[in-house]
Amino acid sequence: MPISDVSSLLPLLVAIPLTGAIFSVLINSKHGQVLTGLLAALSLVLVICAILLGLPSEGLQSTAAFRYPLAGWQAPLGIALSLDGFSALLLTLTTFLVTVLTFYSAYYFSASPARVRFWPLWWLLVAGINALFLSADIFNVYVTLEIIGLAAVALVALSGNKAGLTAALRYLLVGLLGSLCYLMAVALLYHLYGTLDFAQLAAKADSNPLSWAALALITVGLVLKTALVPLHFWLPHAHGSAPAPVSAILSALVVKASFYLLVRFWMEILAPAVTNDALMLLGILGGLAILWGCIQALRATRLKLMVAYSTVAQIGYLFLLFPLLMSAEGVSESQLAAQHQSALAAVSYFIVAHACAKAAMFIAAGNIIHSLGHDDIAKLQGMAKYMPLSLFTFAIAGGSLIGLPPSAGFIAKWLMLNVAIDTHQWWWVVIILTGGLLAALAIFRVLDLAFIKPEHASEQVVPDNWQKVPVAMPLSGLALALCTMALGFNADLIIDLIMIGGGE
Amino acid sequence: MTQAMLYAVFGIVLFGVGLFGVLAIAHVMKKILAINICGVGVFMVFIANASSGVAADFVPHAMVLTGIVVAVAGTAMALSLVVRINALEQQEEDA
Amino acid sequence: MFNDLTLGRNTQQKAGLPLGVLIMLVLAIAAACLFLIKALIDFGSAEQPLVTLVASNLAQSGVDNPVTAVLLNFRSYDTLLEVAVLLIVALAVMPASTEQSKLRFISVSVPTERSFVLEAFLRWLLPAIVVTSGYLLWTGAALPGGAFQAGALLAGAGILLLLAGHHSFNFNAPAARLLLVVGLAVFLLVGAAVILSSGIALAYPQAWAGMLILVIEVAATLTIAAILVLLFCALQVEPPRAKYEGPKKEEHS
Repeated sequence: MPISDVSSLLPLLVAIPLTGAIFSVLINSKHGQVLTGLLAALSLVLVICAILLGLPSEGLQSTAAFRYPLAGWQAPLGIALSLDGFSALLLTLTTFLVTVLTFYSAYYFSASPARVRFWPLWWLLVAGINALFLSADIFNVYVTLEIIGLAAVALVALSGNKAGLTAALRYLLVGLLGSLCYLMAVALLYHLYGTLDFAQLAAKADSNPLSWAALALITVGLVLKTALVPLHFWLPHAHGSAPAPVSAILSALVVKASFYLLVRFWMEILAPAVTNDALMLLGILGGLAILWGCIQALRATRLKLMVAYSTVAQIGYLFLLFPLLMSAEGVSESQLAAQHQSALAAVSYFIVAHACAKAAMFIAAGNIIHSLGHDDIAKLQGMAKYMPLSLFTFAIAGGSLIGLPPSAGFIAKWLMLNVAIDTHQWWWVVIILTGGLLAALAIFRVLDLAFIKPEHASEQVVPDNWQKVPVAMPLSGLALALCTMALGFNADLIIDLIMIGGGE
Repeated sequence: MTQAMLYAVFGIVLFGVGLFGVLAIAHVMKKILAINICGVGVFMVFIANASSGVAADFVPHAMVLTGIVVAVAGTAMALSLVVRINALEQQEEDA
Repeated sequence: MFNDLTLGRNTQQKAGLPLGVLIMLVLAIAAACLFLIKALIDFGSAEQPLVTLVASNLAQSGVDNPVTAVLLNFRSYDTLLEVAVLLIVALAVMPASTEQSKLRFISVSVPTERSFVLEAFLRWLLPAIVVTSGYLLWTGAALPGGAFQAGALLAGAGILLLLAGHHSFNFNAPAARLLLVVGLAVFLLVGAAVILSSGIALAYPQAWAGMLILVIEVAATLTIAAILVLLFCALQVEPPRAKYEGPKKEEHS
């Protein structure tokens, strides 16, 4: 069967990280593992560049996604990989962040004995994330979810202290429960429609009680993994106690992976079973998440915990996608499709903006911990003098999270506000703006402390156990933070990518 | 109601029992056991539905085999974390 | 519900959730289950298009056992990722130390307390286990069996060996690390190599399919056995020695 050039590259996105993992198990010397990591990252970048170049330009909108039937068996017998605009964007984002974080981890773990296990687990996690974004089979997705979940837990547990291990255990139990809910839904859907393939399910799905039950189970399971309020309780401690590069990838990509699946199921696979009330419910939970996450971020005493709570709030913004998909009366099919496209474009933009900003923030926080040995916000007073680059990174990334122009965060919120106003849902405008204000308070609280000198001379604290970090560590954070700025000026790139293959 | 349907119904009941156990019991070992009960419930639904037609469907059988391996992996990971936390607690007590 | 994890060993058991919450929980779960059961019964049985598809393509899969055909040919990608899941768990529980990587995989020593019955029994049992495991692996092509079953049996042999006390395994040794990844590596290699003949990853040429599946399964068996033994080692908590001393002394005397 003919396979176009772009499709034939798809399996490489999973095979390269798996090969990287195998080699980092076999060659466990320090330089061997770093070299393997850099080679794997480099080849991922090359493959993703080739794929992006091979995608049709915006003029020729192909409606079919690229498919690769693995093992040569067509669905429903075999498993297919597929690629459309939305997954291409997320894969590009993954590759970019993984490359920067690999570079960062090479320094972060250079003196730590944990590196022996970090590198193979890191590449297995990347393989899982790529496999999830490529998969077009609901059972295969379950296996990739477990790869991501177990690898993430193992990486969180690398910290080795009691708090980290307990957070990892809680994360694992929640993840297993979420996966089982999802698996139950797979059993029901397979019984109902006799296929596991995304496209074939989407063609067959209709609205019946068993479909509703499956959608509800999938939503509960994935919302648990995405950490939407009120099921967010595991996230702050898991993300807050992991090593910095791990926290970065957990916040930037791992929670997005389960969100990506939710979007696939709600917009595409089980779209006929979706009702306006259900969309609204997810939106309300999203709104609550924004407010609750921001308030907890304001109250946090540790820097990493604050950043983790800010992730809870940012996940809330993602879920505002769902009420924006609601169909009003008297709206034609094509208008609804256009509305879905613009809502999806806004949320995709948000995903990219948040991923870069949050990874930059966790890197900055990691540098601060590396230098000071703690991340107590109250003790950060005057630290800008010692760690200008890290705090500068923190400030830029913070600006993007708040949504200050000209950052990517600003454009993302702007796009979202536009859709909210177009669909006459003005209350989301209030929530988005309040969320931005509260985020500003939380971030300026830290910056305020860090950039002012202590009021009294007697309080002039010279940091204990001061350790200088290699300059590459703050630089990789800064690169990510500057990316959020650069994306603010090049919004079209991302929005065009989403439109390829319908995005829906 | 056919025999296969009966198995599917009890699979769902097992899933519910496991779910209750995970949510209601604080003891970690019992939580891990409850998650395994949940898993068994799901596998039963898979297998029962596979034999509801004229001939047995082998794809769910293979999926359940994969699922069992993944469940074993998850359980082992949970138990190893419990063992490590336990060891740390013991150290704290001794100190 | 997840915030108060207790291990229950040294901490006094915390009181669980309040009764009101428990009743609400029971009612909510019961309602959800009843809805699910009713929906399932109302739906009845459905057509299963994959039954005929599996049956009609079985001849081209290289094996006669339909479950093995699904696992290692039609949906081999799932199995590939499943081996990766096992590797993750192995890495997660592995003792982290860089010094041990220079030591040997298997070290032999005479234990302080010998169990002669187990030792004598093992001399008979181990070869039988290895042969049976090989049989399970081979028969997986036509009858129930296969890599996981064979690997589990082989791991049983490894665990018995550990319990006898003469051998101890160091999973940081190069040979052990090779064992841990060989299943995934061979699977990937075969999956990539067949591109040369069929042009598609994991698509075995029909004439070679049976052979390639066996090669993958042999490697997977070794990896699965190694990982299961590793899990046993990692989860083995120091047994309370005092309890075992009684009967053994009687044996010696």
